[in-house]
Amino acid sequence: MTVASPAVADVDSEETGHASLPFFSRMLKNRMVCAGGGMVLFLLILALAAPFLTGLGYLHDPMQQMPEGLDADGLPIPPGAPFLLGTDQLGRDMLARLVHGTRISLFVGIVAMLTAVIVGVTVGLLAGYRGGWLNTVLMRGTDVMMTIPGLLLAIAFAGLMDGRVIHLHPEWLDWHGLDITLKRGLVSVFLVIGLVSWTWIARTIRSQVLVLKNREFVTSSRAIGCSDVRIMVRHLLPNVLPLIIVLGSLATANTVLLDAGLSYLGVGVPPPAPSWGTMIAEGQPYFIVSPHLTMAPGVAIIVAVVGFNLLGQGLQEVLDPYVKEGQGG
Amino acid sequence: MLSRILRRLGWAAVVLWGTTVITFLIVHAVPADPVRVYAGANADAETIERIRSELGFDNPLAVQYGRYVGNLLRGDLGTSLVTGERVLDAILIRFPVTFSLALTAVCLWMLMSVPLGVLTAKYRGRAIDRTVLIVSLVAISLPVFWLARMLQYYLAYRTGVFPVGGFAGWTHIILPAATLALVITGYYARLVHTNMVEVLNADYVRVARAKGIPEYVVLFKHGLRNAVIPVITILGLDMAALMGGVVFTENVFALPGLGVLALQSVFNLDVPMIMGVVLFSAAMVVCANIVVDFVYMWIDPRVEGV
Repeated sequence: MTVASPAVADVDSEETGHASLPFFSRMLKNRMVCAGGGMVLFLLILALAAPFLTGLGYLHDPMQQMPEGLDADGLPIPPGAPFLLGTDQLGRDMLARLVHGTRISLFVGIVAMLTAVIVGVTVGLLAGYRGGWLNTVLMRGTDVMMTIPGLLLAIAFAGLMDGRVIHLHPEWLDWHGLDITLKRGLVSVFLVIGLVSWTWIARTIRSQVLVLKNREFVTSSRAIGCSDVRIMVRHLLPNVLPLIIVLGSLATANTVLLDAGLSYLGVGVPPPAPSWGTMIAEGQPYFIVSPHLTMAPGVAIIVAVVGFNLLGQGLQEVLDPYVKEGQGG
Repeated sequence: MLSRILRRLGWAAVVLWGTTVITFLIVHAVPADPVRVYAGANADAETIERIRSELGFDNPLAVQYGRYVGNLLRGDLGTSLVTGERVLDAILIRFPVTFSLALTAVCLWMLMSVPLGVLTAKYRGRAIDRTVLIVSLVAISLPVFWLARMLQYYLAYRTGVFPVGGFAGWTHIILPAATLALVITGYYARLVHTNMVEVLNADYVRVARAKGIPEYVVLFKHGLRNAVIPVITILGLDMAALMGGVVFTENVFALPGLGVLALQSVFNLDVPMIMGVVLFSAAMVVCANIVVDFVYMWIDPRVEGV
């Protein structure tokens, strides 16, 4: 479940007091950044290395149904000797599926986060800096989006994708380079998740911009005749960058969770792709005889989400002075 | 007071109108063809076109939207393409399940998180504070559907303390609601904690203590009442997310609520039903926010004049 504003998470810790240390040693001094960053880094390396591990023969093919992967009764093999994490209900290697699942979860999570950040930061900057009717329209729109349950919107959106092609060019032009096929798959999933999770980012960025826009450096830029776009991109954006980094990390925890949830409900990345949520959904009928089918992907999701949450919270502590003073970037 | 209520109601109308626009656009801009599903796999092209015009799916989008809103204003949410049921009836039958689940969950997590938050603020930096911090961070990262499965197996199936699933009375609500509450309690405990720490450093708390007022009165009357105000705001904002959690728990525990209905109608491409459920959920969130607003005024009398 996506919960509340990541930005209101508390900054109540004693570890904030190393203002004199240079930035990177402060990062390394923060235990949450180290633990969370380590977990995220580990998963990223796994995700990048997965095809090579399979290619070099260290991992099985995640799609291949092993003849020795089911026992005499046709049941999955428990974790242990031939397969480290056992096999799934079709005799596929669980470890290989988990490791390759990292690719899908992290890819969807990070790209969805980027989508949300791009939309949220644009809305927040425009609404905060321009103010006036634009602010009213954008923020009322954001409020409406926050009222509609995001998960319902996401399953409505994702569930209805069935392959119509959108032409981004006139019909008479016989060229299909820009066609977008709307079908269930990676692209639709990260678009859907991204489009329902930008609202918090927009709100937080806006309130930060409201503080920054009355400061001297903005006034002086305006006095020497900088255009609004230049002020927003060159002066305000670098100053909200620390905040964006924190929000992005916390948002990734939510997008990974949402991706797993959509896959679990059957509207995520379609099988046979080894998505963690799908693995739980497929494995749960076997829970009594083979609990590992449900446990292993569950633990993988938890590790990924805890990692991004820890990283985000830790970064918030470290970057808090930069966020407050508005001189990061 | 009255102007505030009127403003809230006006705002609620704007939000609901925005919801109709967004759901209408999503359902109609998205590629799936509900008429094809409605007509069945063996229907020929002519039949499909006839049904399309009967249902009005061949009209321009603006006309369809106008007709939809017109019907809405008369309290007609349309008819299901799959079961032929009236959408509003289908929703109202399932509403009590979802409502009691959500309400129980909110009560459970507020009842657990407020004492936890006060306790950790009182014993700040001690072992109990750190434990709650770490546990809350892990809890918020748990996938609801996974946790629900685990609790269902270990607490319901193995021990038989709770019913495994389905809906037949309030005992069937406890475990699903507890699942939702477990995930969020830690987070709210931290919110209460942060605000409480701030409030306990305020001058009026020091004065209260100096006057010799008993510590529990200081904590709960002077401290908590002020510390809980920002938490109530967050609670209002979290209502939409709660509806999301409800979808998962209802699916795992086979509760016949709105979440299950939403998922079924998406798989059936039942367009009027999807729109009805999304709109109704948004209305629920709006109502919950109005209730939260009243709680807010009751706790913080300063708000009234604003």
